[in-house]
Amino acid sequence: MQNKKHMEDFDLFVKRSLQDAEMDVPPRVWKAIESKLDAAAAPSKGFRWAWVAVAAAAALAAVIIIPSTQNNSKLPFNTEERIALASPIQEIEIRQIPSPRTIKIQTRLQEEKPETDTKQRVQENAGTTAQKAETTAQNAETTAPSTETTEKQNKAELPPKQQYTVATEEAFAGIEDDEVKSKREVTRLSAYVNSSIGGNETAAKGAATASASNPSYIENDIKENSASNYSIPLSFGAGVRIHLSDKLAIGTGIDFSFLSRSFTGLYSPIGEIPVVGDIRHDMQYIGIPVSIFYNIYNGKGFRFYIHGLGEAEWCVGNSYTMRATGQTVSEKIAGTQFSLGAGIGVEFRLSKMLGIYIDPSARYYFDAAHPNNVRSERPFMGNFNTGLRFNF
Amino acid sequence: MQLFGVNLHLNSREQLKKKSSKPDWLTLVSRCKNGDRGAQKAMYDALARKMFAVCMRYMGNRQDAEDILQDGFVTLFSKLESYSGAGSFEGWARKIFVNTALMSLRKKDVLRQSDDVDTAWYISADEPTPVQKIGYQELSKMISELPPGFRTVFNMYIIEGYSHKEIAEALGVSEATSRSQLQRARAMLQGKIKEKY
Repeated sequence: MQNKKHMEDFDLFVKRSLQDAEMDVPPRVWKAIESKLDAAAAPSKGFRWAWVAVAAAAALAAVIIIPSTQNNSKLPFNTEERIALASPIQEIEIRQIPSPRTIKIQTRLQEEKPETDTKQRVQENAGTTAQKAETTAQNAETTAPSTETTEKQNKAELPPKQQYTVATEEAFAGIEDDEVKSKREVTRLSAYVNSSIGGNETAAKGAATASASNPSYIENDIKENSASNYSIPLSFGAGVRIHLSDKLAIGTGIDFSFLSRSFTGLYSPIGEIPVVGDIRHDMQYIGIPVSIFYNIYNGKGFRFYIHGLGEAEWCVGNSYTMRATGQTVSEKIAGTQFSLGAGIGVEFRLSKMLGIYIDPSARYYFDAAHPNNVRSERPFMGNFNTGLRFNF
Repeated sequence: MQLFGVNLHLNSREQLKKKSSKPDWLTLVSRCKNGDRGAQKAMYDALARKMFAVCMRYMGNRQDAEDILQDGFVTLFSKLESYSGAGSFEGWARKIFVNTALMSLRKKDVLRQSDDVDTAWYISADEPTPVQKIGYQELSKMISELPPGFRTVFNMYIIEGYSHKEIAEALGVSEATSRSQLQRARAMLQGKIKEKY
């Protein structure tokens, strides 16, 4: 009892003696603090990289899309446009050839061209019409068997202008065939659902503790005492792909990514009881990818392609769970995570509308000054993306 | 007073004078939140000496204490948003420095290095420790000489007022270990005092 009293007196004496003690602080301490505050206030490295990423993605898109557009401009995409560019003489000549294809094209012309224009053109060519009508009658007789041989013979016998007309028709027929073929093989729009896993190893281990490039958030209250065990990142997404030609497509959509790691640390928040032990750190991201695809081989049952991708992601969840107590603390994380990637892919057609695809790729994640995660630890990662694609 | 090459000011007229002119914490906090460097310096001037003493108590040497003081202030300025205004600002700030010191000690894994210290001969007899003879300077020096684990538990329990449960959770040890380390730290300190006086 007496001993306890002595102990309490001793404790009280020590507390009163030391709790308000003060010591002189050398000036260098404030200078060091000032420089740390200045460093924290400076724009983050990740921000500058973000603009580099955007510029690189834009440049990549321009390099791929512009040459492709120039090639397409040499030949109008659909038949109507091609006819509209044809000369009036060709149109009149087409009328004089009584083939089913000509009738079809003629009908389109009548729908598109003002009647006055047609009349005018007919008058302008009145001098030659009678002669052509005669030739056409002969043609009608000779083309009755409708064989390829007789058509060629007729073509040879026709005057130069009429030969040109027939050639034009054949050209149109070819174009029409191409278009039908194109419609069969090129899908204008497709939608996809996908999932992907990324990471260089199944259970990556990273260096411990927050680095200077990842300024503190809750990290101020958490001290990492061990290396982190990173889980493989998982992503799920959906989106659309727009086919600019039979070779080229661009795509966008929305992705949800889940990152997780665990480490041993001390959580000691201000005004709360400190906790030590295993801590799980979970982060969720929502992202908008922009992709470019280029078909290398388009076979009957599958196609093989290369693709490039840029993505902007925003952290929508960031939480630390103390396993010992089950306590979870979370906070908002600002800043955009940019990434660029490229890879190859193969799509197997399961049916006319449905395909399954596999896209292995490599991707670089720029520093976003977010809390430590597998992307900040290993910014260059391999991804394995697979999903279903619905073609419309 | 001179201790470890630095000056200690305890219950002196100077300290009382400083106590009487307490800064307007709420105004300072508000200005610091806006990144006002002048306000940050004013807050530093108002807290640094006392917090440096706290850091010294935990770290036991000047270099480590300076590092903790720097990290503590950077943390303090970044966490001002979480200060609600309720309660003592100085007490709130002190917890930041204590936590920063604990993190550092835990990282260095020095807290478990006291287990093999033989303290049997320090166990005090049933008589008061002659504390009236010891100065603050000497007392601080003796505490700093305690093994890190003893010193940390002693500081947390005696000065900061943590419970053994809180200490156990903070340091990753059992409550029994915390009690044991406190008892041995106290006994060692009392023994040193008795030995000298």
